[in-house]
Amino acid sequence: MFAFVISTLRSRWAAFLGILVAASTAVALITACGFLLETGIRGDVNADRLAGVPIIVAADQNISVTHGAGDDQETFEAGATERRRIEADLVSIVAATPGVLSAVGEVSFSAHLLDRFGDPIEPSAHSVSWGHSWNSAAATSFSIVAGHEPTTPTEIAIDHALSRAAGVDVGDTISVVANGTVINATVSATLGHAPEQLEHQTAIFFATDTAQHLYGHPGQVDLITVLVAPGHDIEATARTLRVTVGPETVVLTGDKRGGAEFVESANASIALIAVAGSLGGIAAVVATMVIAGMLALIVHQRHREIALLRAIGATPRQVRTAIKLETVTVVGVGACLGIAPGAWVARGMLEIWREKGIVPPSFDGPHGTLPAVIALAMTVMIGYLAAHIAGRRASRIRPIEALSESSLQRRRIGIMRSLLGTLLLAGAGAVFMVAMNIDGHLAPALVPAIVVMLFLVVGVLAPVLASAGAWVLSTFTIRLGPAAFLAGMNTRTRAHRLASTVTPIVLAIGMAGMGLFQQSTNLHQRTQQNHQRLVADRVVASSIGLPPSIVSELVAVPIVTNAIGMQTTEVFTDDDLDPTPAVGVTEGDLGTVLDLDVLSGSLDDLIGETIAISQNLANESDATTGTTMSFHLGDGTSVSYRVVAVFARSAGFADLVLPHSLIAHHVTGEELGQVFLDIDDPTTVGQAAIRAVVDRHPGARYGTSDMIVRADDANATTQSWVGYLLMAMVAAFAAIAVVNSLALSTAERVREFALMRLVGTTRKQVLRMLRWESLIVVTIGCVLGGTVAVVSLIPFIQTTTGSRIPSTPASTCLMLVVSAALLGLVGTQLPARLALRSNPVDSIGVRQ
Amino acid sequence: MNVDLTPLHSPTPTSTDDHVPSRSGRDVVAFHTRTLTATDPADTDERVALRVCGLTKTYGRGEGQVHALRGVDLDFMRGSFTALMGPSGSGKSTFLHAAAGLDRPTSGDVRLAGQELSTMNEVALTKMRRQQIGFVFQAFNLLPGLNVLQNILLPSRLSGVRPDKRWVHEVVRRTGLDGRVKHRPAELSGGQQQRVAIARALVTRPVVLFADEPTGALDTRTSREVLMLLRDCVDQDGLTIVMVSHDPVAASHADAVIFLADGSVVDHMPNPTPELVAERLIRLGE
Repeated sequence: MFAFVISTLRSRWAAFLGILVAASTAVALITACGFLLETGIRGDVNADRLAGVPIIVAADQNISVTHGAGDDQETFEAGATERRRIEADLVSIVAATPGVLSAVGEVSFSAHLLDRFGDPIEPSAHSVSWGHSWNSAAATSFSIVAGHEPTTPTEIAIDHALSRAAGVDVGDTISVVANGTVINATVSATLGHAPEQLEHQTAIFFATDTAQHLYGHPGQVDLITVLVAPGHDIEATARTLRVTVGPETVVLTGDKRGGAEFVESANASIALIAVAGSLGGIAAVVATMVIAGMLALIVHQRHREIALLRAIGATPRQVRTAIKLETVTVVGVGACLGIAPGAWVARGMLEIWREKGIVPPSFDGPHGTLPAVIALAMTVMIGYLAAHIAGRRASRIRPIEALSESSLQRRRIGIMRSLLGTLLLAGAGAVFMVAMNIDGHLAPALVPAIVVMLFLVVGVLAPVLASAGAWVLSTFTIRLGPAAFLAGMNTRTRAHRLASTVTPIVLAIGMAGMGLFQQSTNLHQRTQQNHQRLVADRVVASSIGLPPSIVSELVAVPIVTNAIGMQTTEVFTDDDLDPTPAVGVTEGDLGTVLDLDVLSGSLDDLIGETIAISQNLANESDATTGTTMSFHLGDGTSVSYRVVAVFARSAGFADLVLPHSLIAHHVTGEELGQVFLDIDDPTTVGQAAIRAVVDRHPGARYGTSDMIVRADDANATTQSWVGYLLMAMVAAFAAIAVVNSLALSTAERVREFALMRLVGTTRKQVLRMLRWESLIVVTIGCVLGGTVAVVSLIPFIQTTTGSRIPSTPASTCLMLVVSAALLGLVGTQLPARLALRSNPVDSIGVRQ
Repeated sequence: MNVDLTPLHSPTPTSTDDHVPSRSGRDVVAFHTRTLTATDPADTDERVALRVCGLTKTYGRGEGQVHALRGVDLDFMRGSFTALMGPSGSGKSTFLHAAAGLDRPTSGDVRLAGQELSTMNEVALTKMRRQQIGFVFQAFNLLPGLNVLQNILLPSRLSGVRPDKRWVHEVVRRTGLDGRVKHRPAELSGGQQQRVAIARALVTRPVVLFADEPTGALDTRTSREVLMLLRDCVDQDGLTIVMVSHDPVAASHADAVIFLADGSVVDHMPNPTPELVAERLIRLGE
């Protein structure tokens, strides 16, 4: 049997090439999603500056809550994203533990070198810059290349990459801003380090006393770096340390060290898991439909061959087995080819996400081979499933068909198939209704389910849907000349072939449309709310943060009637510790700078231990004005504050607003992102005093609120990259299938074209007929795909924006339609031109 | 011969026996005026290779109903070569499909090599086709992906039996395919392709070989070669051949010709010649 299968494959390689390509693309996509999922689930962050430190002792950043009891007991965990500090006393205890060579308390604080214009120097985009104490340099494998260690408050040691970027060498002076303080420093040393260190950050070392002062948390340290004495085992020493340090503190080794160095990345993988998981699932369904569709076409093309096989004694089962063997062989080979590109895509994707700041730069890349093995197994199973479906159809081919000249086109679909389609449609409707009525953040989770079900509905009912569309469209085209007439009749009467070309277009348009419309709706909503929300006259903002003291400096300016500083943090709400964006606001009349569209309560009451929450959060947490809400602050501290207001305009802002004083001691660095100003004299002269204040703070920019809106738009665009790229790849995959299936179904018509030409149709007319046909196919595909995209987005949009209509910019729609039309043209015109090249008299005799 | 169909033309006044003697002297075809029952002694007659009783086939329903076969009773004796002729729509192809187990009749029985086909399920029918029946179609007989030898051995491969190498070699030699066994069908002429199809049919040593216009797509000379080969199979190996054709020359290679019109047997002609067959056909068409 296998030898037979191989010979068939050899002679039919062109048809199976499409499946090979589809399978390898599918594996590449699923592997990529798998690797990203694995990366996300593992959630490891590589140690960077601390890469050379074997053991790190730090505060336990893990927050966990347990609900229920007994069998119903459920524990939720999250990583606190603001740093918890530990007592400096612990350093000497750790140092005295057996096996420990040395222990150093690490203090890190925001520190940036400034260029001669007073702007922060960033050696590379998206890298962060930290100040450290000199006493930690040796423990973290830094060594002096030139110069001497910093000893005075104005001496610094910097790594050589930074010294090159800043154009300074030992003995030169340069300004540095550390925790809001500007220092005119002298470079006392340039430092060398291990190659794996400082890939994603720059380090500035200060004299030990100076660093303690700038750090600003006396008696505390961020973490303790531990070097192990020669002859002692790292893990054994770590075990001893765990006993010594007691609870609330963790002793980390190996891969877990990165988490302590970059606490802000604790929950960075949540988006990754969600996106990679759902898209991996969608990719699998799309792959099944694409491969099944192509197989259906191939089976259709080979129906005489199959009928002959049946006539000379192949049982239906043998036909099915042959098709399964063929498919699994091709899919298996294709799948193996797709693994390497898949791993490459995963790495590339992660790199882009790192660059865009969606995942932290130090986020660990994919590991191991498990995702590839699973993707391989999944794709082969998909191939098997597709072959099973196609094989059922093939084994129903009656042997008598081998004797008939023309292939019969079945027009109707079976009862079982219609029933299945109706059931799936009903199921999609039910899930849609659930998603529309469900509370809060669960609705977006149902979107992939709706998409998949709608895709399946299209796949199962495609012949019916496509021929219905063809009937409608052909009534228009049959009056537009002979080519359009023929195209109309062809699409009308060949429902199954039409269906197998329409389905991939629906998949491509559906996926692409969903990605683009979701993005445009979010962006539209965010921009709109930003404009409505920001009523402040002026804004001071900084990429490296502003010291809280700037607020009082600004309030002191005569024309400033109100100045409110804001710091963004993350809190953990609800029973499941959902990471929620929160904003701490300094004292003042918030209403004069932000119009949050307060639905109940008043922002004036936002004093003391109170919070204002968004409507979304209110729905999710079942809270309202007057309720006392329990949640965890960014460093994991459990708090209960009273809700004094519920507001509507949260998109691109935060779901929880609280006085800055409540978060000040629960954040890694106490820096404000922006200060919003209400001024009563917009003249240049009046603003000079404000500019003077701003100029004292390096990196600070002063402008109208548009500056913030623009920056936020850019940020939002960046964030939508998360799912955008992967979704684009799934759409591209479906696009390959579009060209593939069109090419297959066009190439099969060599005899038909030859006959047309023999009876007097010109080459041009044949090609024109095909253009009309692809126009009809593309139109049906776009309408169905667009419907799938819009319908499945409605629940998502309703919960995130409150409106029900996705924003579908004309330019986006046009782009989608034009791309689909181009694919349609490429898919039909190229194979048709090839087919028309030969002499029609020869072609008509071509064996099928 | 108790035939209720009066032959319009009888070239040689034959015996009134149930059976028509062939030119080789053997009885080849019998006509029945009544439906055979299981208790009929003729039912167990080992000389009968294929027996059809009361075969009807109707397509569609109501007003548009088409009666392709209106009750055909025929016996085909072992070692006979019978041609089925008739105008388009006479039911000859339908008869062939039903008799060969390719299609199910609406009513009636088909008994091939002593086994009843009408009650068999699809798998049993397929196995029957594989082991007892050979096919040669007008065109598209071969799988394009397989070479000549692979095509010839396909039925054995499907049934999972090791082919008899000597017999295969013999078949290849007799069909004149020596030196061509590694060729693909696309590299062969039409006549060669038909010879491959015949070789494939012969390899399993079937009881009956059904041929549907086997020379329909061939020129006169290659047609003759193919027909001689078929004749040879009957005379040398005792194969039973049922052939549908519209070519009087092709039919003249058979032992007897059966004429069908409008779904019924209307005549038979032993020892046909091209002229007599052509003349009879013209009168049928009137």
